[in-house]
Amino acid sequence: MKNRGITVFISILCLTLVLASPAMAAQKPVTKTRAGANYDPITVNAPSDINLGVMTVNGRTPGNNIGSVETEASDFSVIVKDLKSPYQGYMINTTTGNPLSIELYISNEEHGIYYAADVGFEFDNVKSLPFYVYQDVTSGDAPGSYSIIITFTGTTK
Amino acid sequence: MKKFLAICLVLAMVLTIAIPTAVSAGSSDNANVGGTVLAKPGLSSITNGNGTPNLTGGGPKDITDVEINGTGFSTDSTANVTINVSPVTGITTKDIVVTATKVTATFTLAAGTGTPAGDRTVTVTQGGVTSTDTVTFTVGGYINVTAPQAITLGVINLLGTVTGSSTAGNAGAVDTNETTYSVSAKDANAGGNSGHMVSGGNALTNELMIKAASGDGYSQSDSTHGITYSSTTTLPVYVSQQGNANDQAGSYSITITFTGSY
Repeated sequence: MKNRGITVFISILCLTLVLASPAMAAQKPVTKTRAGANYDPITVNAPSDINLGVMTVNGRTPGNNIGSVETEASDFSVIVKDLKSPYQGYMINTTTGNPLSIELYISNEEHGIYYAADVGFEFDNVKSLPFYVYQDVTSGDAPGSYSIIITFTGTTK
Repeated sequence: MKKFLAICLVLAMVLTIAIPTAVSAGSSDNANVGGTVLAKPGLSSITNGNGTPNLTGGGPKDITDVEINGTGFSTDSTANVTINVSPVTGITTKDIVVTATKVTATFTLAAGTGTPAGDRTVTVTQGGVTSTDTVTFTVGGYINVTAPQAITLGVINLLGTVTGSSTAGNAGAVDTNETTYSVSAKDANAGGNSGHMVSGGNALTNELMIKAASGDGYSQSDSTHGITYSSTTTLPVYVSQQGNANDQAGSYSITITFTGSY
């Protein structure tokens, strides 16, 4: 009788642990299953490549494009930033590997707040990803071709 | 019992550890941002459409096919290649066409002193970087003179004096890009009758007198005298002819030549 009582108690404990898990407690319906985990899938389509063309020395060269998100989730975000190291946030000379002297700045609004590309910004619950950049070039920057990869990382919550 | 308890604990741990991987999904994609910083172009020479580096005045006028030769010019449409002229007064550039070794453009010169004569220095800017090299050309000086309207003195009394003038809208005019210049007005005929009105082979006895302003005194109009205007764009003229008892009847005339110089 004692053993049975302990068994029931432990069984209740196990069930309690399972039911207390956040995933199981979520109220939204689970629509997809992958590798045994339940979640809403998200697919991020980064904006097409942006060619700034000739970047004006002692001037500011802007560019923009639009990306998108595909998901059934109601709560999701997309973080936008440069992930590389070193020279995070800087356009890099494709020949020498040297960075420009000023970081690339990025934004989701043409006339909004621009963030250094190493800091980046976040889209919340929007499926259109307008992406604006500008690059300042100084007279000390060496001639050449420069590039940077900005990563768009989407996550459902 | 112990075995069952162990299984339950392990199961609970497994469930607990598995939870974080089940609450979210992720996806990432990359956007590449690229651009180019241009080098300074090199300049070697500049020629106009005639192959010389000089641009003649007489504007407003367009001088087409001015060619700036060099190296490293960018043909990228975003390079914003510009031609910089110094001093730029009166000169604008348009219709710029760029190849790797040549920038071709039309230079437009403003009229008159809007484009002063003199040497100009040229540089080329692309993508915000300006050539260290320079090339030069010269805007040539020019002066175009329009003589006053013809003056008809009417009947000249043998013992009297007649006067005439061409002023205001009938005055002569000067078009020049020089700031310091002069215009002489006199009979260009240097012969014996210089300064005299003539009719066929006959000349009036007295010389035609001429002046540039009503308040001035008259000067002889012959080829060694005449009057001089200094750096003025309007050329009023006043003349006076005195008759003489020995003058023959007839219709007399004289040509006064206005000559600009700088």
